[in-house]
Amino acid sequence: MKPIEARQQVKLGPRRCFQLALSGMSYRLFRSMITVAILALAVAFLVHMLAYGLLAHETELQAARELRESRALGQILTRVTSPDATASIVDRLAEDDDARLAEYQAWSGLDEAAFAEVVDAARDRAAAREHLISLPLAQRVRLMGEVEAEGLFARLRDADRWQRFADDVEELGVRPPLGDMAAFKQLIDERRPRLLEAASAIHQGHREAIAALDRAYPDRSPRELFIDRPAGLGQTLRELGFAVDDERLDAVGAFARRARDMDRLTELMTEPDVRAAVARRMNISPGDVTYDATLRYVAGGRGDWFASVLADATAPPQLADGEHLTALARDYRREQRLDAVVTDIDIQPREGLFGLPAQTMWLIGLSFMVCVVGVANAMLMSVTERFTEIATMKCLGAMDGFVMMMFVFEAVIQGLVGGVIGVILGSLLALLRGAVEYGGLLGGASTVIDEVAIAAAMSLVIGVALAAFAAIGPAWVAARLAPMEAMRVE
Amino acid sequence: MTEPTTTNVHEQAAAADTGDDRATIIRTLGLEKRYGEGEATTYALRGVDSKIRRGELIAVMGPSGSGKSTYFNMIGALDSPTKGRILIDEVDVAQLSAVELAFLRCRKIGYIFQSYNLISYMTCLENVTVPMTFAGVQPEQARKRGMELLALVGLADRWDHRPIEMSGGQQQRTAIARSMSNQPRILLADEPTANLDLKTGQAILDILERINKEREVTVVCSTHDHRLLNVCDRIMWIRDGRVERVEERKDLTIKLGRIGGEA
Repeated sequence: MKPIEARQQVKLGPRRCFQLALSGMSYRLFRSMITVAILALAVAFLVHMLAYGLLAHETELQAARELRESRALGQILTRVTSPDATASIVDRLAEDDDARLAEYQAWSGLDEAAFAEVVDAARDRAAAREHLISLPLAQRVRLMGEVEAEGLFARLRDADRWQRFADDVEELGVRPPLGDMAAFKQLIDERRPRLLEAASAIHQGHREAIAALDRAYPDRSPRELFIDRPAGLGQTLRELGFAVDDERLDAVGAFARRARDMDRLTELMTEPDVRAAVARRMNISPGDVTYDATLRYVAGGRGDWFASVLADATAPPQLADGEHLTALARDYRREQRLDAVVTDIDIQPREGLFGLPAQTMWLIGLSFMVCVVGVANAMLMSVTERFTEIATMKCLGAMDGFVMMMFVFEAVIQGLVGGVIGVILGSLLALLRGAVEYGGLLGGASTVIDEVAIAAAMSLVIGVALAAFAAIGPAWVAARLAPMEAMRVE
Repeated sequence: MTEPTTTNVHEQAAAADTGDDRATIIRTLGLEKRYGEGEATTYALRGVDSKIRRGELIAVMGPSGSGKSTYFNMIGALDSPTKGRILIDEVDVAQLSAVELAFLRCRKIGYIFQSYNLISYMTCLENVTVPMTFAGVQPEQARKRGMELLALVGLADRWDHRPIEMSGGQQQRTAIARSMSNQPRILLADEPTANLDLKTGQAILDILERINKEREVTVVCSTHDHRLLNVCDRIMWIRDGRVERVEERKDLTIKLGRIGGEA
């Protein structure tokens, strides 16, 4: 027997394979379209979920920040108007607000070290309270009875009650507050009374500071004070212990002005002749005129119209400027939107890559599994209906690897096309949904556009990988097909 | 199952060929193909010893179910036998690796199928050049050679038509051009005229004969078409999975009338 000829079949490069896959696909355009559509939908879903999640979170984060800022401005006004209650001072001493702590220290009249002790006691008190509240209901009832934590702390100064409390703690086997009964006892007997004393002093100091401000600028409400901003106001406030820098003063001034104008507007809207004028212009009955609807209408750039309405009625000159009215109405709308959007004022920045909830991740995972099955099925159909073609190619000298590569390539091309369509579709959908949900507030989310782009690119890669993965099985079937199949007569 | 009566004839033929290995291009030894196990076993081939000579045009004839197609798959290296050996150019097919088999199918054997098996999304010329692509021929050269082959089968003016736009005869001629694209030494034609009318079938047979005579390609052609008997060198009769008899055409001419009457 002669030795076997060792010459081997040429291995074809990916380029030829790609061309063949492409020409094959263009012929079976309809089936390809189905696969492409499945992939496009899956990728669109993923992109939509990721992009919308990012946009929504960022929008809410910024809205919450804006709302917090606006509330902080409002609080500054409140703080020069009425002193904090002792109980809330005790609570706030435990919070991490440096500006407020500085104010409290100024009003307490304590030196640095003594004040630090007070803050320390306030924090321990808060920790002990937190611990007691977090106990299971039965234990909590046994230890605290019907009273709140503050009431319990007050009672525990009584020796009998303390003994009973200590016995209960031991019997129940719960961790004592602050982790140590001795430390807790010290808090109840020594540190808490001192804390209350300091809080009371702070309250008194606050009251005096407000009174001093009133003496310094008589006959002016705090709101007017901030609007007028007499020279040296910042200096005076700081001397009285208020933690307000000049920069902040501008913001508070604008806030106060807006609040005043809003109040004036509210007042005006109750005037019958204003309502009648608005009703006439909007062609509705005066009973249907609402503050909200009117301001929405004005926010659409109809400030001049509204100014003329007010001028027709008995309007004060301050609100005669159409642009100002439009701006006011827009501020009102924005604040309304902020209130509607923010579900959690203390919303935290995202953690991890996209910070999506586990439920969403499951949904995405499942949809992709469905997609894999769909693509695999489409590919399998494509293989089945091409049995003769594949077998013929193998008769003509195609090798297993080539056939396999051809099918994987086909899937990759479909994955790319579907992926790109999906990314476009998903992004548009996310933007659309964001615009519907958040309106003008969505613009603030443009800071996450980089992350959205990363999410889109990732989805595209996942889509392509998925298509290739789904094609491996059917491609394997095709590659292993016996060339004999070509002989079969249909 | 009756014992075949042609064993002696066959043995004589085999004996006559011994020592003449160079003249033999395909040889099968005790070729057997079974499907199923135990009781359900069916035999497609029951021990086929055959020799196909280099450069001849041999007709393989037999009723359907005779094992003719299985025999074709075997000598085309498309299927492996249960028992026995196939030697193509004195190389045992069973010992070839997948890559070597692909090489063999690509360049040594050309296949012509009953249902043409053209690739539907390719043009006529592209179909012809596919095997050259697999053989690594440069596209430019492949196109040139493809056009020559199309001229050979008389389809040079239809090179950019798709299979669906061509008649059966044209498709089969394209398939012949394709089978010739890597200059194989063997052409295996499995009922090439079965789907064609008489006139077109004759044209196909003429092309096969021309390829056989002019290019010295061994043509193995299975058919029911008795006109092939006019042009072939030998006829191999297969029945019940065995070679019933092998006849030279010159011995056959006198009996032609009887066969024609039979058909």
